[in-house]
Amino acid sequence: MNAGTELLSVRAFTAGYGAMPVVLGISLDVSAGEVVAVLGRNGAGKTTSLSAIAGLRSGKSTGDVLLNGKNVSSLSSAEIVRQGLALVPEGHRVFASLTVRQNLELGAAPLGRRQRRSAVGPALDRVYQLFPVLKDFGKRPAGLLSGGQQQMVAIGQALMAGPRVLMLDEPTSGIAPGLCDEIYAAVLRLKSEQLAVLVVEQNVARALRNSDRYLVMERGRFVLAGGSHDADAFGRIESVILDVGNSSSPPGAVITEPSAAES
Amino acid sequence: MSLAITTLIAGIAVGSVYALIATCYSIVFLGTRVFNLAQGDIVVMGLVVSYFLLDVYHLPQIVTLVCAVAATTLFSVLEERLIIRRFLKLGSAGFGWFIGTLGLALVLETIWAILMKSQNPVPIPSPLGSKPLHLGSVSIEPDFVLCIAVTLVLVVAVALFYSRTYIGTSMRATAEDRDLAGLRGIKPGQVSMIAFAMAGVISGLAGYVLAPIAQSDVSIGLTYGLFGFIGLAIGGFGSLPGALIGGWLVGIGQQVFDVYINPNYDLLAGLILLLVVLSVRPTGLLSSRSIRTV
Amino acid sequence: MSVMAIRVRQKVLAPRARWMIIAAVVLLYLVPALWSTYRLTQIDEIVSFCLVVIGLNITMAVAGQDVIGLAAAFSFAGFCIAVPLQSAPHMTLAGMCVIGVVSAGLLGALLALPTLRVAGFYLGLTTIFLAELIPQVAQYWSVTGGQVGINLFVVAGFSPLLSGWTLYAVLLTGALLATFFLWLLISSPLGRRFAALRSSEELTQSLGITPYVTKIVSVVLGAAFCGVGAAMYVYSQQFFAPGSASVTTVILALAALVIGGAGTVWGPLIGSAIVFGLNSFISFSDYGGIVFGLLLLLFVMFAPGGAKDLVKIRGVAQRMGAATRRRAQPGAATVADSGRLGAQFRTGGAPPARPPEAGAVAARENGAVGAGPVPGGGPEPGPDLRVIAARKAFGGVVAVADADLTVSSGEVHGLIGSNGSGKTTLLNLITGYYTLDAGQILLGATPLSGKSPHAIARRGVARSFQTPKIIANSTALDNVLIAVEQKHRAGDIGSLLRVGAARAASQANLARAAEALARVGLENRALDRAGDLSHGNQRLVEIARCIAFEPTFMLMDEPGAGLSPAELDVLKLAIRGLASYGIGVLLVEHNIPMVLEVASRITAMHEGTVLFDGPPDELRRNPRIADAFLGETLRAEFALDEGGPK
Repeated sequence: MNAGTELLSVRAFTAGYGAMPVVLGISLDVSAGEVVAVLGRNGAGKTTSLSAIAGLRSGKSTGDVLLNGKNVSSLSSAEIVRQGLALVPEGHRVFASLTVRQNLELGAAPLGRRQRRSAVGPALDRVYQLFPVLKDFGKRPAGLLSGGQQQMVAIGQALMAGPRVLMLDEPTSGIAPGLCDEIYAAVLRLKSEQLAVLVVEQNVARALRNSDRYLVMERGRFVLAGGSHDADAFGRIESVILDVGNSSSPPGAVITEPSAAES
Repeated sequence: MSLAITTLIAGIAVGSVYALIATCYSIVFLGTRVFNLAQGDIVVMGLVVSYFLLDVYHLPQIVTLVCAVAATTLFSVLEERLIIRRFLKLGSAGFGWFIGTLGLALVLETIWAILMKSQNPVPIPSPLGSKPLHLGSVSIEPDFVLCIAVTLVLVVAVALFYSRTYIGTSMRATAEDRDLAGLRGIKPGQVSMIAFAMAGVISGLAGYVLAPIAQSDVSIGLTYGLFGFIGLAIGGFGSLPGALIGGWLVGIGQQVFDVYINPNYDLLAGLILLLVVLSVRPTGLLSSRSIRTV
Repeated sequence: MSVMAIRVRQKVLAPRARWMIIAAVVLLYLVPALWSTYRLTQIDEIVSFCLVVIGLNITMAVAGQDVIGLAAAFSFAGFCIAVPLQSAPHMTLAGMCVIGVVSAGLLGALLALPTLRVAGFYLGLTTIFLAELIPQVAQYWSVTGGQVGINLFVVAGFSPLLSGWTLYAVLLTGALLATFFLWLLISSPLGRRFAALRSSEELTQSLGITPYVTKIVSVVLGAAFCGVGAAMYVYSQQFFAPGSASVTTVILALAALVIGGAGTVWGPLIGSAIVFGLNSFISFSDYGGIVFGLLLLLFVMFAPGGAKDLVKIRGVAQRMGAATRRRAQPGAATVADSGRLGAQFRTGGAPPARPPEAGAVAARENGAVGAGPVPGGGPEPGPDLRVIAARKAFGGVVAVADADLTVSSGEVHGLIGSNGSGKTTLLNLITGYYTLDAGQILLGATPLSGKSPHAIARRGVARSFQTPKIIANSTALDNVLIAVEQKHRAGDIGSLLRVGAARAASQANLARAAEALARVGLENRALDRAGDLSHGNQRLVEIARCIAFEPTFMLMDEPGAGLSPAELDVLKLAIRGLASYGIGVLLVEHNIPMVLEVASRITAMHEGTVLFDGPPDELRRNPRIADAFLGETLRAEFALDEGGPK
């Protein structure tokens, strides 16, 4: 693990929904050029975790979120984007009444007008390289696209501001398999561009194929971690998911990937 | 016949101001989820500034125009920063901002009344002079024409702003999906300020063109605000053409009622019209979006 | 905790507070006796407006409706009284009150009927409109006396019986009675319905209450008080003019509401004294609008709770905060209470419980809640809740496709599936928030599809929500009581006035509510403010409320979310308990182990269709479910069959 290039560090992070505690204490690191997959059953707290890290907090939140060493835990979502973290929320959300091109250009909002003028062109090119099909849809209202195409717009939009950390919440849910492959191909290209990627993924095999490490979340905590290409990865994850065990006992030992920073 | 046409044109002219007010309501609400009850009195601010600069200090029209717009815009931005931000921070705690803006409206209305009380009613000169234009057998006050023209230009400008400019697009995005806009780095505070600034500019212009028509009657603030609201209800929320048509319908209706029935009861007619519209078609003519879903 | 203890705790005021109130009231009566008639007339005006503010308090603060121009009802009623008075100068104060109430009430209903269907603030705006136009119309209409208004001094034969201090005393008594009514209202069934309305429309509907009707009642009631205030005004001031009825009056009334403390019992009196007192005794000449507009604005911005926000001394606030913290202990207390679930609940003088409850009490005495069917007679097997070939699409996306589901009475039926599986949509279809595109939903033989949520609730379908919907500002007991009252109506007026048969019925309801809380182990938290409780306890309050609703079916939407292991244990006990009373429970959950433990039947959905439906028997014996149908669902969700090591 490249201990020195942790772009995203989360420490003892909790988050909730109003008075309801959902995330009970998670810690993770993602380094540049690394893809970390987060798996887990529904209700585990994956979406709440990502949303809260990105600044969308609907309840009390404690713990630290560090972006490239800088503590962003108290910033709003718009400010966190400016710090280089982008979240693509689940459900392939786009601005339906705007065109594809407008959606993409809007992604560059954090750059400020002067920088935008010079940066938008190259940023758009990069997005079109990742998702060539979007080039033809420039003038179409985003609401008229298929789910998979909307997801590409959503990811492209997030990339326009040049984030160094990208978080994707179930980018392939409800999307045709062919487009899923395209989306993950793009993720792998971003990995080669040294972005740090955190992705929540429901399909275990797909998650392991496309990530370097995995974390399994259960009822607000991480219960399992490992290398995605380890021989026993799939088996271990399958066990945890299928093991319905005792509903009341707290989830098993809280495991996080041992990093060089911890003793 | 010429009375009918004059009434019609007067209705469109006054209706234009209502349309502008309705537009301001929409812009502010879509940008901030706040309904600014003081909007009508901000238009009157434009009128008051115009009056003083033109009649008391005898400044040229251009300077007056600039000052009126500057005053209303500055005030609107201050209102947003000091008052509305505070309400948004307090959250949706019941009827907070609604009552707050009503209080502000009363403060403004009182200030205008005090300022104008000591003044003798003097006609406010129009930039186009007072010679009526002639179209065939009909003579039209140039003030009305100015009103209508300015309104059309503004509505087109706002439409272009929202559809063609970057900021306008980002404001539409915020209105559509606030959270997603935040995730893309669009600051809600900026959107809110721009919305209020736009409303301020429009209100200043509206007050300026209204001045020669309404003369120095400044008690109209809340009344204009209410008629503007009927225009909004008729045309539908969030629709620019709706605000225009709604405003015109209200203006024409009001003038017709004033001329042919009884000018003292036009507010009553307006209320009945509003109740009918809300019973029959609550989302308005042109918008499919009811205020509940906004 | 016995019913007696609860009742006493509710009504006890600290002795010091009680003496202060009595002293203040006595002073209010006695001090003005020394004043001149002119001064008294000024005070009479203030008292009249106090009634208006009480009306505003009811509609806006207690019921939460944005009817900001309600004081226009005062203006309307004032003219409705003054105009006929010219022809009937011997009208008594009582007669004027009747006219006031009727005219104002009618106006309120007339405005509310069309506008409340749209959105709250439309009614607010139309009432402001009305406040504008009444003076305008009155100004130009000869009937209302034109600009001068109606001056009763010059009406022959107008010689009111009451005057001077006597009049003041009568008016003050009226205001105090109205304040007393306000106090009664807040702790009455109607007041609790208003509180539910203020809190959440979904909550209101889930209790079987029709929101639209309750809103209109709140508007008419508030308007009626404005009408009484108008009567007092006309009688004491002996004129009514456009100036009495202006928008400024409306705004002053709002200022009084806010400054005095919206939603409190004494707020209107205090606020009126301050605002209308200032208005009467200090001449602001033309600047009045600025002063009061600013006051209103500043208070709403910085002290929305009223003047009491300003006088918070730091020590007092800290001590109050500490007391609240002591009471609202999360987690640990719930665990202790769950042990107490087996304890018997002493009902004291409450009426005998219905037969199934006797069995349940016995079962509880043995500490065995929900240990299976109730011995010695449960209720007859009730109707089934059946979903047949349900289909629902949003836009082009099919959320539920041809789904079948049957919940029997007394059965715990689990509904599981990933996000997007359609289970939440199905839940909303059953409870009436969505309408079916195709298929049927039947409760016994009655179709539920097409009915509004509150109609469905009234047929005995209760539900809990993903985030517990409770009324934060009310006590846990009140939260539960409101459900009891929907089932056992005690007569609104009787309960409000605490008289007659309604009184005994209220006592019985209180006992039922306390018992429901006891069943979830929260009897010691009955009088805590619900918003201060931990999330887990809030969830339990919601469940107690559903128990109190005595439904036939209970739909629970992810009740286990955010609960600690100990709280989950209590939840499981409660769910089993519900089933043992013959209630059919549909449990939508992510927590599969919990569903396996409590459910006797499980339906699994995936992408809108029902994948499996059957008993989880084998699963209980074998925690590893690699090849049971539940495993199939999970395997599908996680595409485990695609995978395997590379």
